[in-house]
Amino acid sequence: MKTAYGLDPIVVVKIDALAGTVREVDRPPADLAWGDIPTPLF
Amino acid sequence: MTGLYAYVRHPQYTGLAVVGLGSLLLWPRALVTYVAMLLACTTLAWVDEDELQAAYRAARFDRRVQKALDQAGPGRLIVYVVSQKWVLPDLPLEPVQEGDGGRREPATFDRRHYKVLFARPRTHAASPEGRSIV
Repeated sequence: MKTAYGLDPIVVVKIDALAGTVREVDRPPADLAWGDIPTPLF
Repeated sequence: MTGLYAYVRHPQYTGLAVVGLGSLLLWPRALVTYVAMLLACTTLAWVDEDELQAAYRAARFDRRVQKALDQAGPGRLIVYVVSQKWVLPDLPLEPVQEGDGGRREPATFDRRHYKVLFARPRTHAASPEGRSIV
């Protein structure tokens, strides 16, 4: 990891891979305080 | 692609192949087993890649996703493709439920349903490139 220190989520998509279809498109949850959890990016 | 993944697409399978090769030096009779393991790893890698790429393609070319990405503006993306059943608290995939804050990756899951997260790396660089991200 170099200079990245977190992620800004944009969109979460639920997929049926076999049918190749999108089941649901969600905005990432607002109540999850991203950045509070130290996560290494590999 | 940078780092280890620039040279090795599947580090875990490569590690198994190297360990197997070492074992083969000690026990040459294991050649058939080693070859079978190589074939199994190669097949698994193909199957995994096909499934994950299919999930990514289905998500990427959906109009609603395209609109959300356009609104987010230009820049590099980090995309995670994980099973629908996996709970990964370090990724903002869904609201955390009471008592559901732990990491959970069940061994058996429906390989048909996936969650695809499009995210942007947060960096100190104004326009991150390659090594600035990873």
